[in-house]
Amino acid sequence: MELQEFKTKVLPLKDRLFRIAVHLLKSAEEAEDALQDVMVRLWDKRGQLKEYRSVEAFAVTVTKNRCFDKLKSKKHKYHLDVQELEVDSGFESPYKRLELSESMQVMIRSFQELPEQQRLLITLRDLEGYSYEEIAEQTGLQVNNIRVGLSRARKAAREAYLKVADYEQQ
Amino acid sequence: MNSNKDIEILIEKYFNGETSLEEEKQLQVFFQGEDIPAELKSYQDQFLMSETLKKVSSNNFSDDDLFAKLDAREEQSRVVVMEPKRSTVLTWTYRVAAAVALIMVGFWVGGRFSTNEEVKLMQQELATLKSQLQSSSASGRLQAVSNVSGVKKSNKEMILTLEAVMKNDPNMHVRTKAVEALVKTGSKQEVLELLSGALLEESEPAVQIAIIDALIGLDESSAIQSLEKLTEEEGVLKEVKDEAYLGIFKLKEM
Repeated sequence: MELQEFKTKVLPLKDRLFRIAVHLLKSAEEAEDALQDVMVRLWDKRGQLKEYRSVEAFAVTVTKNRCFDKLKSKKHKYHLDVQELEVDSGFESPYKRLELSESMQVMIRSFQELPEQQRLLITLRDLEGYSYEEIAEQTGLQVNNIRVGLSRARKAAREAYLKVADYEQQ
Repeated sequence: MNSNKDIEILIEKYFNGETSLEEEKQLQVFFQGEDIPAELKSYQDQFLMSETLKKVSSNNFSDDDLFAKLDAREEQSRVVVMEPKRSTVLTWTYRVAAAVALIMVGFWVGGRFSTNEEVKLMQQELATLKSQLQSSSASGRLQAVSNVSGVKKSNKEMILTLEAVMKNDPNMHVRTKAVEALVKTGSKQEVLELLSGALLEESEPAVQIAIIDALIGLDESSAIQSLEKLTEEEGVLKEVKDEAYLGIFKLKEM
């Protein structure tokens, strides 16, 4: 794969890959860093890309792994104040520019507080609209486990949301 | 409303991870509408969240930076293409077979190469020798002849050149060196013939002795003939004749 092909096949994925990274890392800056790394990695592996059934699935996998690695080392580094880190540094930056209603902010915060694996599933399915088969290829999970994971993630997000948002329960 | 019932069913499916992509789209579209029934209001944010989160985009990701990085990488390292791992018995057999084949090819090429290498070296040496022999100074020619190394591939031209030097060079030291060089270069039979011929033509005692020594060194009893001839020659120095007798004695004993 030469530069031209890389530009037409891999580079256009960058917005998607960025979104996946930003929702996992909860920081635009870190997501940009991760995306640079991922692109470099994909470039290094360009000789191999042809062997993957889907370049996109491979790109998502690389992105996911890169983000999980980053999260792991971050947790390791700041393991004392994970809580603070997730709540404080998380919300502000990536979503600041969007004008959000108060209740949407609560919703997003609930999503952010999900475990990373659940956040990944929601991002891949609900945001990016990948099929179960595609997600299976990207994550290495079984379709059935993906369904179960999504179900849990969606329910957990709703639960967290309802705790804060004030609706009259029927 | 009928459609509300449908939506409620879809919502339940959604929370059980059972909706298709199409159904999820339906839900999103529904909640983008106005007049969401009060009992479904609490779901709205969740179904609108996707659209909202998709708006997050990067301001600072620069393609130029990326390409600069890629260019730098391109220069510093070439791509290593790795095969995906498949470690079946068959692939291993192929690998072993390939390795063996490679080693054999290696030896074959190596063999050919070193032969070529030797021939090339020889030709180079010959060319230098010839050019240096044009030198008018005896020491230059002496140097040239002493530089002839014992490449064990006999080369006709090299031997002819050395023979010419041995017989014709005006300087006895150069002639002596040529005798030594010949011994190193030629095959036994060739050298024996040449030395025997030169022995009878040579009149300088020191060179004669060098030739006699070389003949003795060859360890070939057929050299005795020419040595005996030399002892019968007139005008040959007594010391040279003694050397020849000694040679005859040594060669006969062997």
